[in-house]
Amino acid sequence: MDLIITGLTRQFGTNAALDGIDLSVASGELVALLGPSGSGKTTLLRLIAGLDFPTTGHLFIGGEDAVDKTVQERNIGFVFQHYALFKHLTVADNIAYGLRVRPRALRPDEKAIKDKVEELLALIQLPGHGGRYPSQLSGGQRQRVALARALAVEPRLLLLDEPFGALDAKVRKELRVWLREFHDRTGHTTLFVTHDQEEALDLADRVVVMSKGRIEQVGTPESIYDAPQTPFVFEFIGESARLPVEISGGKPYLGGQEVVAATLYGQARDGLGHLYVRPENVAYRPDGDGLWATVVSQHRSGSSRRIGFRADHTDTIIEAVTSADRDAPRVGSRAALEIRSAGLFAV
Amino acid sequence: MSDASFALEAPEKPAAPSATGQLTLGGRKPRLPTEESPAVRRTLIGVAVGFLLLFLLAPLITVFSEALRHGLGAFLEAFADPDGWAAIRLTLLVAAIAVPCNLVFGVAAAWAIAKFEFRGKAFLITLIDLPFSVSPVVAGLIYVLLYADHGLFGPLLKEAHIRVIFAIPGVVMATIFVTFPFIARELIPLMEELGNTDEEAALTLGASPWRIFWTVTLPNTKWALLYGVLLCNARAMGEFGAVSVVSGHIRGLTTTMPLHIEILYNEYQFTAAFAVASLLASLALVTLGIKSYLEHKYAGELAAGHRH
Amino acid sequence: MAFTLAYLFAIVLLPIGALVVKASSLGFSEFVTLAGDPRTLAALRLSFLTSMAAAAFNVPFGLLVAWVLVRYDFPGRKLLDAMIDLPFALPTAVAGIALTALYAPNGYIGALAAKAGIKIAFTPFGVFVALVFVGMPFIVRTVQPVLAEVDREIEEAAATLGAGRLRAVISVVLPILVPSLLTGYALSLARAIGEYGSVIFIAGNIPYVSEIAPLLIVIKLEEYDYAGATAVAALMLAISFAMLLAINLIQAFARRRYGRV
Repeated sequence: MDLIITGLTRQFGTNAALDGIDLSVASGELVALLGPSGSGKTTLLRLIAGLDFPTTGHLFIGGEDAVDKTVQERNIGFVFQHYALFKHLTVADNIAYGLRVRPRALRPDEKAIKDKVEELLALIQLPGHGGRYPSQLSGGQRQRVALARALAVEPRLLLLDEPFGALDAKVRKELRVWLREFHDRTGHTTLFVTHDQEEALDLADRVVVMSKGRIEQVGTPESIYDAPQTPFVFEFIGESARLPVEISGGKPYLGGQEVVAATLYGQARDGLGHLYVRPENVAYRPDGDGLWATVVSQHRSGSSRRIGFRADHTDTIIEAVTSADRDAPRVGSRAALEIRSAGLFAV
Repeated sequence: MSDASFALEAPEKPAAPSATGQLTLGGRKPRLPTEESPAVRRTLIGVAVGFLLLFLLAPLITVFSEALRHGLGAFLEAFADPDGWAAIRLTLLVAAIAVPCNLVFGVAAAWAIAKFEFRGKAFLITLIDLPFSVSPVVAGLIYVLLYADHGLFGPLLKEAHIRVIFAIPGVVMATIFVTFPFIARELIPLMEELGNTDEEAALTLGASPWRIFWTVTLPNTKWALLYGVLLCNARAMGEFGAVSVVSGHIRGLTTTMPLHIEILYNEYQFTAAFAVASLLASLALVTLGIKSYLEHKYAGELAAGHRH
Repeated sequence: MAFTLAYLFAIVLLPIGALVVKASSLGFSEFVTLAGDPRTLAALRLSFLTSMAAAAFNVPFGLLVAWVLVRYDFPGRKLLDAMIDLPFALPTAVAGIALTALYAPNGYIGALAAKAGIKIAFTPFGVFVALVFVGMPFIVRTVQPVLAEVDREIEEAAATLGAGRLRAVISVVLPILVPSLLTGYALSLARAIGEYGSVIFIAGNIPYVSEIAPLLIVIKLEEYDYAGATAVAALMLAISFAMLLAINLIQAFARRRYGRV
């Protein structure tokens, strides 16, 4: 089911944890809410679920105004960061919980509940584990049980708070692949919160980057990475060098000379500004036109080689990444830098 | 989700309440899913407070109101009785013996249990706890069985002309028994937690064991120690059942304050009984006050999981 | 170390040992005769029934008090919290005469009850009231820390799955508290069975009606009936040990079941 959020604000005292959020999520989409801690991403998730209420604003689930509905009425699947499994119930009883608490008229009979539990256990690849207690499961298994429990009530939206936060690196990767496949198979509209950009870019159809209670950028993983629209997104996602420049007529100048970039984006009024450049968008030649710089460092890291340059007229180090087969330039030698793509933002 | 930087950001773009409409939830104030409605909350608080007033506070107030029922004069008159003074003196004496004895033992036992590994440690801890789970009357009885004229040591004591039962030594011993676990219980978990590291550091610096105890162990445990002494003292002064069995109720000689209260009460001297009782109740209140203060102030240094 | 053991031996082991020796010297048939005495049985029955009733009464009310103290903030909460320990701190004799004055037919509450035709003091009901007083803190103080550590997320999880507030509390919070409630019940019960000072004044001590087991020990001692007193004490002691064992078993079970998740 689709989700539309308009002007959602949540204030705690004088602090706005969320400040005028507008967001639309299409039915069946897998969306990541990405941001550093304190960016408001978990608050947003909790507001959608009805675990907290907005100060102002509206949200519509499946076209229905949900803002004055209680969490019970919203019918949302929520997977908590630490799973919040009921320790005194078996895995099967945990999964069946949402069905058993329904009013009698809406409650399936015990047989139907049992079948549903078996079906979900198979879906999360834990058949035969129904009789165990949560304390007898591994972290990744608990995570999947929490997911099955949330899905048992056939929720209109599936919300996951830091779904992989409490797992070790290996299990994390495995579960990430599994969740993507799982989503493609079941097609739930899903929002998940993460502070890990790799996770968001890897997994989501669309990524919502948040900072200080506001949305910085919404887009596909490619557009978020390749064309960040704000300085924050540039600095938060991926690596980049920040070159202080002067902006004139929408173009960046360093020491009076224009810095040429094949693709240039951003909102830049004239005056002082910053040019953001990713390492993979920098090429270098021993001669020719471009931004002249001196090689200050080089080291190999796995299959690639990273070279540090100090551009003329600045102290900022610009890095370039090349294949490790290519000969490394000598430290101290000169090179012309060619910038393929960069973001330009006024200070 | 609270970040100091929000405070700087918020005024820039204040929320516009009228633009989107202030949230009303159909006239209801939004209630978090983990909260109860105000009506339920008020009812629960009301019932709980009512229950506590009825069962806790009412008896306490009764002690003071009964003591002062016939005015301050009658209240003070109760202390003109020389037997009353004897009871107060005996109570202080008993506490003055029992508390230091259990203090020394409590420290020694906690030290032994926390610093050494030995077989039967769990059994030892259980034994220390035992007086908590034995009826005070049974505690008194076992001393009678040991030291009364027909008891195990009775003939021996008779020959030596020492009276234990129906005399002050019996009262002291019974009190030591019932107050025995308080200090050790407070110290054991704390000392186990503190471990040996601080002491080992001091040892490598060449300090003698006594010096280590005074300069390292004691400062680390002083609040727990005070806490234990406080509870131990309160119980020592207030113990009734065990003392009642061994004292023989000889007025002016072997009656402690609680026993004196009983005698006065059974003689229908209610005002006098409640006057003495009000002293002990005040002691209890002071104990509770200091205890709450210590718990509040030194929560981290006091062992968790108190059981009395 | 040696001092610790010697002290422990002199103060605890020796006296308890004496009781066991004395009890076993009675011989089985004599023991049965003494313990089977109708007055003894009546006293034991009274002690047990009133203690179980008082502890059971304290379970819901202790839970309620713990809930209110942990979950709500209201004026006087801290004071109330400190007052919970009053029955621990107030000498039993003081509590005894205060409760009697309060619940006797001419006392504040006793007079009210008398109007309603209920006699509290000097009946088994009076014993029950006194035992509620001494047992209450055990439940509150065992439940309170467990409740404070309950993860609010599980309550939120129950809510997202559609459970109403009452349903969530009963099905998700209460089960976590059950071991501590049982422990509190056992502690409260153990204390109540042995309680003497706060009960004897309000009980009225009518043989076969409101005479509790600990009082019977005192009476037998005053009659120099050491054998009889020992028999009752041995029974009570055995019960105390059983309680301690039960408490430990409950806690071990709880640790196994609710091991960190």
